[in-house]
Amino acid sequence: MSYTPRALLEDAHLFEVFDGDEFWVDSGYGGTVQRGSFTNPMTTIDGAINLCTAGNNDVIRVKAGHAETLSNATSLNADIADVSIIGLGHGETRPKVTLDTANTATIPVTAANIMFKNMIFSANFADIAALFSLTTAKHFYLVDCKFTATATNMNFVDICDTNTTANAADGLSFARCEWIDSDTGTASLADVDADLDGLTVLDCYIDLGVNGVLSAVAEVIAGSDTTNINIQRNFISRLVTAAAVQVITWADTTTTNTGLCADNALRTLDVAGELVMTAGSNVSFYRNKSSSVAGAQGYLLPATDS
Amino acid sequence: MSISSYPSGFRGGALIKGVPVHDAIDGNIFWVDSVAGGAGNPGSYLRPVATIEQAVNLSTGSNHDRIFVKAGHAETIANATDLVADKAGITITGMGRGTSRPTLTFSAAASSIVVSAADVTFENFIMTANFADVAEAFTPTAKRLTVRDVVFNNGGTNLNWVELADTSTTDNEADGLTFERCHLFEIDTAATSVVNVDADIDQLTIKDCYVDLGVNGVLSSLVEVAAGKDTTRIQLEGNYMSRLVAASAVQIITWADTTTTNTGIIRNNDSRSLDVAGELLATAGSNVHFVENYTTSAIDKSGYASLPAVDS
Repeated sequence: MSYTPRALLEDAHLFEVFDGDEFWVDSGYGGTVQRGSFTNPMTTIDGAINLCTAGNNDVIRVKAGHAETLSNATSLNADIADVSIIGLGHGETRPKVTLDTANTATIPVTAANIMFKNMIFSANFADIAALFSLTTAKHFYLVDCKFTATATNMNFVDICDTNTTANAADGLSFARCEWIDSDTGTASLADVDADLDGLTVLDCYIDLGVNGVLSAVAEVIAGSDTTNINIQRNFISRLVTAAAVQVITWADTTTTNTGLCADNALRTLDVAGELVMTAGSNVSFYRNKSSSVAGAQGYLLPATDS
Repeated sequence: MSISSYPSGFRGGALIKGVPVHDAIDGNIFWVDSVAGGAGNPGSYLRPVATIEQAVNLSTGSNHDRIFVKAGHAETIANATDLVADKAGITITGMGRGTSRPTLTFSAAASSIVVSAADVTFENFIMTANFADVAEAFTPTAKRLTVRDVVFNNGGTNLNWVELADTSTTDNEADGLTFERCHLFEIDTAATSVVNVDADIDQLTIKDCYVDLGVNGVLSSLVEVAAGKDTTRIQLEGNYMSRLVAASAVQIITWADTTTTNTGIIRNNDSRSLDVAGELLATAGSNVHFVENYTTSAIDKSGYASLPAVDS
């Protein structure tokens, strides 16, 4: 295993060392006074974010069973830098944030170093364009999160959508996340519309419906480069039957791209022309195994150098 | 919100909300914050000092003291005396993640953190070269320096690291030097290696690091070892290295001369070059043990594991 950032490896601890303030969120709280404390929590994540101080490394703990619904692009703004939003509970008791009412519902991320950890995000509307819309949002981390849909034909198109400002979303990272959605409106984990450094996807399980030949991890717009990408140990399934590019597609590729793609398990139905990434990407490949046949082991893709 | 304070700890443990918590801190704790800290402060959480050096000066050697550096902290290392880690056994830990990690900016070619006491650890920092050819981030003159979870970057074009650590010429002075989960991305062609070894060294360890360097002759990415020097019990494991050397690439470690005194393991590394014919992982005849290293020198090819060739 090559380099894995510490921040993506942290386990949940009952007690932690941190140097910021702590706030609590619980939608089940029925009191009238919301201070953000354990006993007088806020009822929404946005309410707690508004209590945080940028640059203070604050932590928001969201109680198990918490639920909130976002119907637009303004209800929850991740706009305070250096805030960690950490859900408690496990499985379906993790806090759940549901997006509904319009396909433009989204969580704007407009500050650096924000993390959502151990949460469930559910689409309750068809083709919600992006769960998170990133503008000035370097080092946005999603760790131990589940992306799902409330019902058939409800889905996220992308999980994260960057804006067109180069390097504004550098360090975008996913670790141990799960996105299973058979809807054919799903696109990619990240829609990359500008140069991006340090895109990291580790230990994720991604199983998406077929949407043309879109790649499951990222689609990169023409003229944009991705440097220092780190894509390792993911399972990615998308049953494209021809011209499959399973992990990342660049609209055009240059040797400016750098990074590694290693130890991923990939599944398609393309028995002839499948690729891991767009040809000529300049990314380094190690031990990625792909299979397009039921009951058969994955084989090394791309072919080995010598 | 208020925070409960237990300045003397709770030896024997404390029951907090029904959960037993044990105080495993056996040294003193000091805090550093360039924003709210001051030189005359005691270094407590509420009254931190302003620089890491001030906290080091408050520490006691061989007392397992810990220094926490608050997120957003920034300081400049302008020479080789601004920060001298001269108390044995201290651990200096940055808080925060991404760009909020404490940032140390090196502003001269001779800027360096001198580590002159044993068993010092730095973890979770951003260290920025903001001058052309900063010779090294660390000058270890003591054993068992550990550098963990540190991103080494630069302040712009032509501002660069040459090395991350440079040992002295005194044999075994820097034994146990360790880099773990660090990230060095430096396209400047003056970059040499993570570690420059000028003396015999035992138990040099580089694990799980991401290293992408500009081409500087045929220098190796991780280690260059001076003539007549041996490396025993070396551990180079789980790293990704890219350096697009086109010919005679020695990707991981070069010994100016090799002897069978060298021992250790090079395992589970992934590397990238442009040398399609004569690439090596390490200088031939090193006597180091190789297991499951993968390398590629071609775009759109997977790394192959038969370098060096498989034994049978």
